[in-house]
Amino acid sequence: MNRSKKAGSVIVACFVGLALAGPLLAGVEPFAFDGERLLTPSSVNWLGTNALGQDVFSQLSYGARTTLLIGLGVAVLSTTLSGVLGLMAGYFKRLDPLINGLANVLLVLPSLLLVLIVAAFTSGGVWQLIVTLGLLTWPGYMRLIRASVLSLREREFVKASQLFHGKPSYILRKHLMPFIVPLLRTKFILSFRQAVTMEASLSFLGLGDPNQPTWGKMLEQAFHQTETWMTTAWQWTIVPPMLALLLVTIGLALLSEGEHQQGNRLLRSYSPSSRVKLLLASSEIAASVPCAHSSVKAAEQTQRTEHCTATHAGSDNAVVVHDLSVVHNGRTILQPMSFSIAAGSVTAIIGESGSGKTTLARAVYGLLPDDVMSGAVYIRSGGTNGSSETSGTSDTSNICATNGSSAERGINRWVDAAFIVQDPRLSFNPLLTIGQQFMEAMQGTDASSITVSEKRLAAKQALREVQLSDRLLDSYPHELSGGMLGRALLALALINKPSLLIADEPTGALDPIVKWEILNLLVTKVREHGMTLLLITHDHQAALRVADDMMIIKDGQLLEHAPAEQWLHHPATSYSRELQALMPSIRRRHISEEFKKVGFQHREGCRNLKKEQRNVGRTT
Amino acid sequence: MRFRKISYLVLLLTAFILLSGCSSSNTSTPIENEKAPQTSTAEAQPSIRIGWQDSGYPSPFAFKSSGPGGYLRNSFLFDTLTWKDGTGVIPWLANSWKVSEDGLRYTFTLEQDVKWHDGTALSADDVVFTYEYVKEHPFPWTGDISQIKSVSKTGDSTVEFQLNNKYAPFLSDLVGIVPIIPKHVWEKVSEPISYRDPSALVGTGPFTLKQYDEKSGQYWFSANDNYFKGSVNVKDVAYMDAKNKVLSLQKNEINAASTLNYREAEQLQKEGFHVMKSEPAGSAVRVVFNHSHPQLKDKRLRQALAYALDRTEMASKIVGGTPIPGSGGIIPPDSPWYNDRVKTYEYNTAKAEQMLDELGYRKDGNGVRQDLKLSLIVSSTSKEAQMMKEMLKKVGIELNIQQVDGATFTSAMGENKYDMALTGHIGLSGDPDFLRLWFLGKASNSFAARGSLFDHQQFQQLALEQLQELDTAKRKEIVGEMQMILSEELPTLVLYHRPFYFLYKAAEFDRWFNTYGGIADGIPLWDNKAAFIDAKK
Amino acid sequence: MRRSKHTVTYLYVLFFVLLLNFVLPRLLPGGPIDFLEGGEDGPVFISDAQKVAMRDYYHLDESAWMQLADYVKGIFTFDFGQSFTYKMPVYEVIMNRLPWTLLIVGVATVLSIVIGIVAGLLSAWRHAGDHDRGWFLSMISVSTIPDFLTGMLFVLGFSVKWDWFPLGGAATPFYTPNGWWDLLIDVSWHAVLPVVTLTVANTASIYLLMRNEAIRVLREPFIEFALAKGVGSGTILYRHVLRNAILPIITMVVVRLGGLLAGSVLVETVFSYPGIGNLLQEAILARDYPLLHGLFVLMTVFVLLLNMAADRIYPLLDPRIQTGKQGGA
Repeated sequence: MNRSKKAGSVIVACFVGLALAGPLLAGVEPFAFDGERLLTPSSVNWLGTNALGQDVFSQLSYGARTTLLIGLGVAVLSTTLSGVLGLMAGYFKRLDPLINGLANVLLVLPSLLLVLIVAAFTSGGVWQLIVTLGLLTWPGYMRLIRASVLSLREREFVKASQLFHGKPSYILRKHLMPFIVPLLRTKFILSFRQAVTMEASLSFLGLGDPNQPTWGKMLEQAFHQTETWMTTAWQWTIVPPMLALLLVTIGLALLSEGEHQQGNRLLRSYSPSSRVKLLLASSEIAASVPCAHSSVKAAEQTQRTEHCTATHAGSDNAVVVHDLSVVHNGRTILQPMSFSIAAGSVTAIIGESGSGKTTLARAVYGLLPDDVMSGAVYIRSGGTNGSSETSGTSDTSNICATNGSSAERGINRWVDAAFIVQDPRLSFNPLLTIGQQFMEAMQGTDASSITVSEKRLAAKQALREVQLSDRLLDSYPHELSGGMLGRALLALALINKPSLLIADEPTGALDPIVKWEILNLLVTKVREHGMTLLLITHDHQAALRVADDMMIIKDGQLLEHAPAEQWLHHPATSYSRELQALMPSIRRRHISEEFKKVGFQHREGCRNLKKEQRNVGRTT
Repeated sequence: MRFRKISYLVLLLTAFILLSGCSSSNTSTPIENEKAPQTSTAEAQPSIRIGWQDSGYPSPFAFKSSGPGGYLRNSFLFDTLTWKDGTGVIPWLANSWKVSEDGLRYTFTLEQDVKWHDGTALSADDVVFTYEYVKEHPFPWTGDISQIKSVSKTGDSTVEFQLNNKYAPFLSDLVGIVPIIPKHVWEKVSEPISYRDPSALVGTGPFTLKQYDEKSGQYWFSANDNYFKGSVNVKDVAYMDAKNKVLSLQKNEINAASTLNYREAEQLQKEGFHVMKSEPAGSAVRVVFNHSHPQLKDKRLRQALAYALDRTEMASKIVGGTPIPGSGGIIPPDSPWYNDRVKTYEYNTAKAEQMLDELGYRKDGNGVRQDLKLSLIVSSTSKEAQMMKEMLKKVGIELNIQQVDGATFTSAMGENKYDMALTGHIGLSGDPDFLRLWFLGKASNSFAARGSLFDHQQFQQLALEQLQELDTAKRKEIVGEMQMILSEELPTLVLYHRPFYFLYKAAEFDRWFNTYGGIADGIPLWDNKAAFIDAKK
Repeated sequence: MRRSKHTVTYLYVLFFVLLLNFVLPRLLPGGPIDFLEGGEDGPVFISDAQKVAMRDYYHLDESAWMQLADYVKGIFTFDFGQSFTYKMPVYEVIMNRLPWTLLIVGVATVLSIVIGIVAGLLSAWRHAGDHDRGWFLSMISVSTIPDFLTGMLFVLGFSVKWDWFPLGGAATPFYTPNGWWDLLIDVSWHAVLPVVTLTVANTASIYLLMRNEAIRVLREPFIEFALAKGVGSGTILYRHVLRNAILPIITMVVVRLGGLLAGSVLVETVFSYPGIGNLLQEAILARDYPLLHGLFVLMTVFVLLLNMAADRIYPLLDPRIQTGKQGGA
């Protein structure tokens, strides 16, 4: 129960209470006209009397019963119909023309006519009104849900479920409902509001059941009384029912809002985080790290950090993470940690799901909002023109001295670093061509002088580099296979030649064969361009195979940061040993062998690269 | 940051759109204000602007017959042989008439030098033609043509009407209603209802129609400078559709209107409007009982219901002013035809309860008479019904209100599918012959419980008698008898009579008057063309 | 093949609705003459002669089949005969009002779409923040007040109290404008309040839907990816979020437009604005069959055309629909 939900339920409960208890408190019948006309509110008539001398409070509380009954009744009926019929129309092709046709008919026919006809053939009353309005108001949202289902039906998870002979009812409930629920919530509030106003409108037209008081009728009656507008009577004849109407709708809206709104507030910053900055002159960083506030972190960690930096002593750092921690809603997602990553290296971050490795990657890339993140991240500038930029902005001053000053620049996304995530199929916007999405990424480079055709040229070049046809630029993502999209994503990541590439489970959603291909291509390309790769994965074998360094994360803590070989043979923590124990021993030996080979190969440089590329090319 | 800018921009833009609407109006208001004084002084806008709704194309066959507006608009363009002013029937197109001894032959002498709007002279042929034409193409208002046996031209300007029987309201409710139409126009027209040629509006009346806008219900009449009866004392009269008359009056969009609500009248009187009350009241709200209902066919139950209803309270709460509780004899107390000896059924719950008990409708433990459950059918949101429900609850009768639309209401009445029906309408101040029409099923009208006779021998006899009685004093006696019967039998119960209040600015025009017995067949309004004419003599 | 199937479905609906248009009004109890007799405040005595004449004139004494034949003929010739109440050709009655309805409904629809979409996008962008909640609650509140009340409040405030706008009507009565500019000012001046009232009443549903959809889209991985690519917020909102969320909005607008044409009765009443809504209501109450036929055919054709237009628009907006499955409609 979050705050808005609480507020919502309090409001609704108040009115339910009014509906239940109000009539007992009122003491006067809602239609009894014993009072004087238009009395101002007093201790006898709490809300005054209307133009016939009827007690407004009594009408309001009796009216709450009918109004809530009508509003909720119609909302439930109409929402259920919209949902059920929408799901059926979208899912069962045979029913679709029937349901959709019926909806069309109902949308065309004026509801007044239908209400009149129903009224003519039944006795007329509250229940009949609920049923009529409920039956009349479902088509709009039925359409939306149907359209939604039509597109969901084609998604993989539904297809898969169908393949395994999932019963339609099961698929509808388990796979489709979750997508429909937000729509239904909106529909529910709208229906409630619509039912209550329609009821008022019907009495406005001289229809409806005059035997029951409702808020709508109160408004309508006051509306037609000239005195309402000529005197101050509106203050007690119009305002109470109007407020009641407003509050109940708001209460319901708040109630229905609740869940998906709070709890998992998207941890996302729309502009690059100010805590992620460009690394200035590379030589200064090595010096700068120790000078940073050393008091915060645990001694153990400091040790480890020093150890890490030591492993790559002498080489430049591509990333320096300084005292980084992430706290959200009072929960610590990442414990304070500091580390640096050597330029040109491949570092694998491994850990169980939920260990915080993705958060770490997002934090490093500056995707988290400033308020949840503390510490600092420095990234070496990159991009095709990166070197000139860096030299332009850098000065000889120490980082610690310039900390927070204007001389520091935030990173230029996709130019200084790039970030690719799990599923290439979900990473592309389905409505834009591959080309358009390439172009977008190139806007970040500083030169606005690059023309569209030059960009296109660069994009084609990038595609060719990953053995994809440049004609794909005009294709939409859904026209490409998962493997192709994976390559395209890679090409996109390389397009600005960033100094750092962060890959969050880049192959997680692909099938095993394609997975290896893409991973190989990724590492090859990274090495080829001298980029630094931060690879987040839970696939330890893959990590060991390609990484120079390993980072082990558990429960938001950086447990270990060591060269891969060292970690494999001399794990520093028991957790690492556990992890290794999970790997099949044969595989482990194999990897260990392979590791040496691959490692050697990488250190050899790119001699064998062309051959490997050719191999990969054949499989596309 | 960037986002914030955009969001402010959007807000600004929205505000701008909204404001631009306002500001454009701001720039246009002065223009309007500049014009307003001009227009009100004379030029562009009509000086008398009356609020009413659209009443259809005002030709003699196309005006809307639902409501008196259509007939009244038409009467500005067309004249009748006789007309009414504050005192009663006066000569109009006919400057004099003679009645034969047996009361079956009327000879009218027409005014000289009457010209149609197109310049042609009115002749006796036109009168003869009119009555022949409306036999074939009924005039959409009242006027019982079937009373006439023949109409003939007896001279250049004399016309003779031969009647089937003696017909007392002949002068006021027949020749005083049917407008004389030009033969040279209509003799060629076979579809008069859809006839839209400008000549369809050629009459002899004091006004011509300058403009009619059907979608906004606007009529703009300008004075006929060659009116035979005298000079027209206004330049023009306009009608327009005003949904909220009070606000329109306050904003001077209209400067005259009528209302049934005394409190509105009171308020506007304070704001400088003059108020005139219609006399006799003319309009009433009444309950029609279904005489074939097994319980309601007993007159004692109907009387008990009358005692149980506090009709004075009803009138004062709903319309305000001096309440006029319904007369048992239907004819309003301020009418010259009223019989002051009729039973009045003062509010008396004790008596009502006693009568109900006597009838065998016993109260149960909760004070409800279980075997007496009645329903009331209404055709619009009705405060009277709501109050009736509460009043009857006090004597243990459960009343169920059924709200339906107009046509459903009428057809339910026609098919006798109702217990009681509630209706409000005008027409009670005119010639008392309406009592015969209501209860003898002669002319059908939902309010009179169409088709169903009031099964009372003596009443039927009296009704026919009054029709043929040409002596007013004697006729009044007979009508008084009829009222006595009605008040005893209560085939219908008038809840209350409600006067119209006419709101106008005396500075603009001050010649309004109450027509004797209502305009034509009893329309208790003020749009009498006689008010606009300075008679020659 | 698909297209023809679509067309066939539409033809079925068209046929069925047109048939209902004939049957439904006649299912209502009472006929046009009952309505005349039941009219309030009229001392209406309809004599038998008058009734016979009316029946004859309106062809009410013809058999249902003959009336049906007339109606079918009317569909093809757009001649539905004479309106009972207006005693004018149905076509003229409708055409006198249609432009006015299209004016206020059109402008209000455009406004509410624009405001709804922009507010929805911004609200979703700020989702789970105070900005978002503020927008959300104010939109809900404003739309909950029945439109006759909002309209009346506008009248009392802007017309009676401050005298900025006229009380009602579509143009100043008895006023001959000097040229089209004057006319334009006069007409738009009269249209402001009805348009604002309609906009207020209709924005919320578009806003809610937009917000809902935008929140959904914002959670999609490709948005995060676009952010990672360094795409600016404006571009994200417009190119990525709006385009992906717009399909349901279009569906909704199509659905609502059809209803709006007939559904502005109360606004028209409050502002004495001549319009289709009022006309339809009158026609139903008066059992004016010819006028009802005309209005129904107009509305049916309007709604179906809108639907067909939407079907054509969807593939342009979502390439997956073209090659893959049918999307909206």
